Amino acid sequence: MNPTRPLTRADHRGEAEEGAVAEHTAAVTPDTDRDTAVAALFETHHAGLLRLAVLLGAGPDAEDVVAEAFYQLQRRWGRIRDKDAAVGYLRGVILNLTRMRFRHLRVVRRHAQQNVEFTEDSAEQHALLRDEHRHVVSALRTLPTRQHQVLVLRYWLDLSEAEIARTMGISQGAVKSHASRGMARLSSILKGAEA
Amino acid sequence: MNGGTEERLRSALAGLADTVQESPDAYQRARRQWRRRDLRRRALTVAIVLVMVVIACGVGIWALSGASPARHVIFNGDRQDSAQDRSIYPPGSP
Repeated sequence: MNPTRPLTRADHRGEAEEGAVAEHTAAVTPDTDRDTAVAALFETHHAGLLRLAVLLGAGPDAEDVVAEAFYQLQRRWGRIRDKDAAVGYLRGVILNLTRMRFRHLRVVRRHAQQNVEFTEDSAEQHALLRDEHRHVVSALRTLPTRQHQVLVLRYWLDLSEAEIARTMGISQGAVKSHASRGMARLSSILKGAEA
Repeated sequence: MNGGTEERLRSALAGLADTVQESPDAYQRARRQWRRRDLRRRALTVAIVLVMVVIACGVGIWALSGASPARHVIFNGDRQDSAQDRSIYPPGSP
């Protein structure tokens, strides 16, 4: 706009619109920032986190578990100081949710009158897995939840003991213990199956 | 001893991870779900606040309806015989 030209009604209207847009932008900026950041995280990490949920045994609920983790992240976005730690936070939520799911399924199984079969994998996943892999995955699922989770974080995500401890909210010593016990038990199950 | 098991575990985990397919509209579905939950949470909060206000009003009305119209506890002063005065001259009377 030419600064020397007198302002017309159209200019005033334009200014008013700009002002309204600026006001609107100022009003929605925190939510928009949060939504943009969460959308970017979703875009980048959703597939990996979905795989993590499946490996941890979330089965058909994996999508819901991951969506719930992102919802929790969105709700607590303002309270998260280090935004780079968001992925670690998401992993932690997924671990807790899958653990809660196991607990829930255990209760359901205990109270079920009939012998209801709860499958962890979809039929498609079952068909796609090689026999060798299927044995290992079945053996892994017989381990206690903590040992199962430590082994997945260590051997699939290649996280260090410190990162696993931070994600699971336990000490590094506990991580070592779960890993060694889990691995020993897995070896014995696999050897027993082969013998 | 565990070297072989570690390799087998890595391979099995990678194999299982490869079978996982991400749905293309995952974000849109998740957003819809989050909005629904937000709305439900807000509606629940509003309902709880309304219930509390209604209960408070009910208790207040019940307390006022049970009070004697002859007793006036406001502007009763510090006089010993104020109770009798109040019953004779309620506030607002000339």
